[in-house]
Amino acid sequence: MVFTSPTFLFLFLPAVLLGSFVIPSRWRNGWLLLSSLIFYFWGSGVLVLLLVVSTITDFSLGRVVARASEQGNERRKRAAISGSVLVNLGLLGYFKYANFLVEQLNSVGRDLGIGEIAWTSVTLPIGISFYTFQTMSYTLDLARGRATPLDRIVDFGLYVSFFPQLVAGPIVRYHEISEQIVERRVAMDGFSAGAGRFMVGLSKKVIVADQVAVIADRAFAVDAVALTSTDAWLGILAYTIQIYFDFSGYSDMAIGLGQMFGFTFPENFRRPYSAVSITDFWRRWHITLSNWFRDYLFIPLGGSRVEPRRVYANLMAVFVITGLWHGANWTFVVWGLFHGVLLLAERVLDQRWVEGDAPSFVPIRRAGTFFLVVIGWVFFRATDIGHAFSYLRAMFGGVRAEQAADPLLTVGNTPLVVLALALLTLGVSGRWVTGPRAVEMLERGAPPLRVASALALVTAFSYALILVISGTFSPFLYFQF
Amino acid sequence: MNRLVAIVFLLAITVPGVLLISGHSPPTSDAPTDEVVVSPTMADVLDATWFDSVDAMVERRIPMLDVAVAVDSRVSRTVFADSPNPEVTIGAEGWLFDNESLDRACLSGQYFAAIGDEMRRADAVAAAAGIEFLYWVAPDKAAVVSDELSGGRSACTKANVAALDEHLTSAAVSLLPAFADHADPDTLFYRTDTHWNDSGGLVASRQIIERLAPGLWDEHAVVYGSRSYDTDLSRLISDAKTEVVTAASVVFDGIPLISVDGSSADPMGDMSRSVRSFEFPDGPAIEGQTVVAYDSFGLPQVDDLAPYFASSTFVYTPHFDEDEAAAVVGSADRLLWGRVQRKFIGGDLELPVSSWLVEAFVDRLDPVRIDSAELTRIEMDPSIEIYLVVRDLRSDGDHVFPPSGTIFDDKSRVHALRVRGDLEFGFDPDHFEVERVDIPVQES
Repeated sequence: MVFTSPTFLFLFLPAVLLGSFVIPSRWRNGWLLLSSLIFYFWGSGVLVLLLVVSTITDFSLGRVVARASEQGNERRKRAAISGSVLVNLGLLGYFKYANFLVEQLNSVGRDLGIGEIAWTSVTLPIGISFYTFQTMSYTLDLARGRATPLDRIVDFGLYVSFFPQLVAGPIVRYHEISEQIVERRVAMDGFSAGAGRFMVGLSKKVIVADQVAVIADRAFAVDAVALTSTDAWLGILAYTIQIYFDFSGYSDMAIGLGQMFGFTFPENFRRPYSAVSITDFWRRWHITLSNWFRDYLFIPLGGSRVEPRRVYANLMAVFVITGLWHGANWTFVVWGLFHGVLLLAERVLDQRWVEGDAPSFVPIRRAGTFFLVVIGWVFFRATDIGHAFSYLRAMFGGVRAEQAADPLLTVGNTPLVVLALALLTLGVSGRWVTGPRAVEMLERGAPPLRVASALALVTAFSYALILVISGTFSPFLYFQF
Repeated sequence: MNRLVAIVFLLAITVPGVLLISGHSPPTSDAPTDEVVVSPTMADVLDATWFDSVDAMVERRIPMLDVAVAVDSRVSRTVFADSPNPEVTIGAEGWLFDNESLDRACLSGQYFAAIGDEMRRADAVAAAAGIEFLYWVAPDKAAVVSDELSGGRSACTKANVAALDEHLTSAAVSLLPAFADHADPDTLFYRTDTHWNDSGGLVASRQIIERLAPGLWDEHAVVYGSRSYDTDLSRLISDAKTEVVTAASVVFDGIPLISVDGSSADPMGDMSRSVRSFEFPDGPAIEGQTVVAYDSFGLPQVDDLAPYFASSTFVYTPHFDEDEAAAVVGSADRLLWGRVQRKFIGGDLELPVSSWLVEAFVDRLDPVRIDSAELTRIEMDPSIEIYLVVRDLRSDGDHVFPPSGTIFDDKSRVHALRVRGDLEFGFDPDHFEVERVDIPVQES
């Protein structure tokens, strides 16, 4: 089930909201857990069992970790942590990467003439990259003493599988939400802010991301050697807008839903295309993933406190893994490497770039960073490495119009107008276009601004619902990761 | 203000669901969808497709679906000056075009040569079976009407159909010149529909009859009237229109065309009838049994063409699978086969036509039994392409596998038909009766 399906919007969500308001608070977590499992089962069927296995494993191992910590039994604690990491990465490795690994081995086997491994393709469970990271963060946070264990598996099950962030984040580290799981207050103000945030997210997804997706899909569907430079740039700019509005729109919806049920989820985006360096970009893009890798991978590897060469190696490792986390394809590895190399270059060249507060050349640095990010998206979107390079060649060369395929021939005005408007928003002040700021304006802006904001939001939301009902929407991009 | 917005939100997500559950949905027939939705029952809840069924039911039965589609359509047309449906392009002065008919690339001569080669094989199969075979390509609207579409969007459609015309075989009835030379080509197509109208169909029919029997076409036999037609592309953009155009049909000596089973000849009135047979011995009477296999473009041609044949059967092939159509076509002395341009160029032509003809006329091809040595020789000969007609001995039905080859594992009878190309697969003659027909194909 996706947030933009009529079933979710008009049946599931009202039913869950109603239930959560009428059910006594002691049963509320159980109700939300049951709803979340139905939500997941709806789209994934029996694969919900993996979610249950991951939940039971980490709940049990979390108790072991907590008890071992109390007893000062480090060995036992490490064993439990290892168990958690092994089970979760094992699930992730098998379901997400086994097909890719076998494919690579078979490719080598064919080249060497030693045959192939017989293999039945494994189905990728939706959201496995997100929920395995959350369950791991539970045991890791307990081990570090950053949070206390939960007494009831229902509460832990809700932390792992709560439907707003189950399939595409934000990735909520346990210590960020541990207290809210046990005790939270649903106030009208919070609910109202959450509803507004959800409306912003739905509008971003349906009105912008899905419209410009048509351009990107068509540009990347044809052989890149037959693309003109203009079409290639339109395609990748459309994808640049699509992935941001899609993913941040989803995050807005998730955060908004969380607020409606009394949770405060961490922010996931902070105007990433305004970044003045790649380092700055990664402080603004998919923040919860960056934080997860920082806390549970980069810092345990030594963080920034080891000698520079080691720091650089650690950073590269983190970025390759970040790339691979997004999908089992060499294109994601190259995308991660690309960002890792740029980030290292910034560190080596000038520390001020890393901090993002160098006083001069901000517009130029912003444009340069945006350009590099766009180049990176080519690898992210291409079907394989060869496709990525031929697409880059098309962007910086391309064929003449009379020799070209014309994938955008029938694309229509709407996606192009929306793309142009969305690109324009990149130059608008952050307080107007980011999800939380837009919602804040409803309450704290000057009266005329409040009315205008409310009207704009209601209009956008109504149009988004019209598009949802009339069926012009697509599944979320991030479900595949 | 936040609270007001939240109230709007709650109403917006609650009201449609409440109306749906309480049965206030638009009737299925009014929903702007083409599928009848069967509501899932709780008895099927364990079925893996149950959730999909619920989603489909909600999507198609949600209250205000028709309103949402209409508003979406209006916003797209008025705010963005755009088509609300990605399948439809809006041209100037109200012309609508099916996007499938707008070619995105001007294709190479090699592409059209391959189509020509396939049609040569089809010609050869028909000749070997002893039937007269004619075919035609109905040009798409974008290749004919004067609306050039901004950005040169119809340029490749025009270029491709012209290139295709040059590569077709001698069995093709070229319609392009007649359409290109027409005094007012805009009158040959519906403005808001995919298809040509009666006038366009009449131009095509005239060319076909002139090709079959030069001088036979009788302009005086054409009776004109008017026709109201609910157009398809206008419905796709939620702006349904009915166009009134000139109706044209051929009537000899005032005798209306009546099918053998007594139904009206007008296929536009009852598109569910896939096969219609006519006998018209008192007309100009082109002798023999004629079968016309046509697509939606051929619908207005039925009553133009049928009076010219002593006995004819019209097969509307989109409603048929290949086996059914082959069974009807098998009895023909003459096969007329028409397809719209996009079905040739777009890659989903019912190709290979030649293998379809093999299936239809296999009993007339008089294959001879061959031994394994002969089969091996054929297999090794790179100039021979093989069609397999696999007869399932239990069902006695024929299945034709095109030259790309298909694995089969049942005891069957096989015809190896010599055409041309590469042999891509082998089979064990010990388990099959193998027969072959040697069909020479004319070089291009």
